[in-house]
Amino acid sequence: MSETCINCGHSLCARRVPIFSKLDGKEIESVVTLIRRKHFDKGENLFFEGGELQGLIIINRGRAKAYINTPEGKEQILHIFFPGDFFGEKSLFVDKKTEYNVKAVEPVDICMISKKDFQELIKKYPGITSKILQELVNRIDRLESMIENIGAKSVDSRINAVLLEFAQKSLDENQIDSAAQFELPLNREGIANYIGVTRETVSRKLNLLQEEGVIQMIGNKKIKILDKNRLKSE
Amino acid sequence: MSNITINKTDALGDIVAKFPKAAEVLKSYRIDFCCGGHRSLEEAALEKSVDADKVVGAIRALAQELTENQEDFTKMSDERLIDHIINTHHSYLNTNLPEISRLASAVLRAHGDVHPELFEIYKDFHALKADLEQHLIKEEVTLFPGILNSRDEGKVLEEIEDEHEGAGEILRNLRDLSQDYTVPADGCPSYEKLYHKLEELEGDIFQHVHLENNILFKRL
Ligand SMILES: [Fe+2]
Ligand SMILES: [Fe+2]
Repeated sequence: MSETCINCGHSLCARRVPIFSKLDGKEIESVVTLIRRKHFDKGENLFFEGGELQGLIIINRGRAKAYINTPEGKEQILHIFFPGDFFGEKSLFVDKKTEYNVKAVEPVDICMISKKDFQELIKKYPGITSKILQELVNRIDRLESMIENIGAKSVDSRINAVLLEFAQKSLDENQIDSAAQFELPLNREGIANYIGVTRETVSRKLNLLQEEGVIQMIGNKKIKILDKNRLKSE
Repeated sequence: MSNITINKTDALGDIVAKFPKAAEVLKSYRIDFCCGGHRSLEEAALEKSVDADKVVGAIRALAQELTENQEDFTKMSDERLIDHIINTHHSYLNTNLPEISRLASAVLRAHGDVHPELFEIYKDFHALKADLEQHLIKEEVTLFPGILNSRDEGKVLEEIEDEHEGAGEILRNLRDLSQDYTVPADGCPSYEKLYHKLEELEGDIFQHVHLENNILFKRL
């Protein structure tokens, strides 16, 4: 049996969640009354990927790992959640599927606010909605300026840079200058994730670079950089 | 047992029979494998609008941490399987149904005013309890002896299967009412214990019904 949330006093854990940060004391109190708790034993799954996310979940005690299963049934760990971490806040407003599995790696206590309860609450206190809206708009602002920064570095230059980076990790300068062959540490998909573009874009750009004589692909993984300077200049 | 192959076209009941831990995964997606055990995983996933490949992936991953000395119910004789069902699952219910009932009364009295869903939970649980109590006896005095003596108990069997379905429905309802057995902020330790026991009860009944529907009755 758990002693869930005895130390947390609830309002503390609710305050950690940014979308609640603009709420005043009374409003936080009303949100806190919605908190439900549950204990998971070590090795138990909180949920599996692709299921219905029931609400906002705050890890209150213990650590949990987020992971996905590769088609071969291997685990790929994405993230470790520590006490105080939370996820699923978007599911308070819209239906969300879980994007990964979460498993308790030690005994875990969670606090949860369910979508169902939360929707009831904001019907009663519409003020809460507008404050959460403010916080969400702030967040969109921050994301927009972040995207602008990322976008500024064009897709071309990101691929060029990553090829040079990989070359420098496996070869020394002389070898690079003499167009030595090396192995890419990631497949197309991996490179795409690494620099934040689609796999198709990576494949297309690599083919283009090859046609232009900048690189030469040997099979799927091996590569030679024929013209280092053109990778740098773009 | 490392070569466990699971495909999305397999029947749910067969998957759990071959690999009991799959029950955990299916439960989490709220896929019913005991009464709807004849459906393929693909069908059931579609119904819940989850990606069948994800479900298969999750089961495969769990399959790899399989404990080796796990009992294979599909290989047990009728007699041994029936013994196991009675000694494990009927005996679990005989002990726990009365205990949960007492707990439910205490919690209802203490928290029913603030959490009115407890009244529904109380009613549902006791409907389940009354139904199961006669159900267990029916199996023990009629159906199981009939199976062991190769008597045709077609009508009783139908009743039994309907009752399984009824129990499954109540359990689904209980899970909804309790919001996945999460305890409200002001819930006391007895509240926690009640929800913990109810969730354990759900798991036990699923496994119990699975052994009967998908393994024992399929042999008839
Ligand atoms: Fe039974
Ligand atoms: Fe039964």
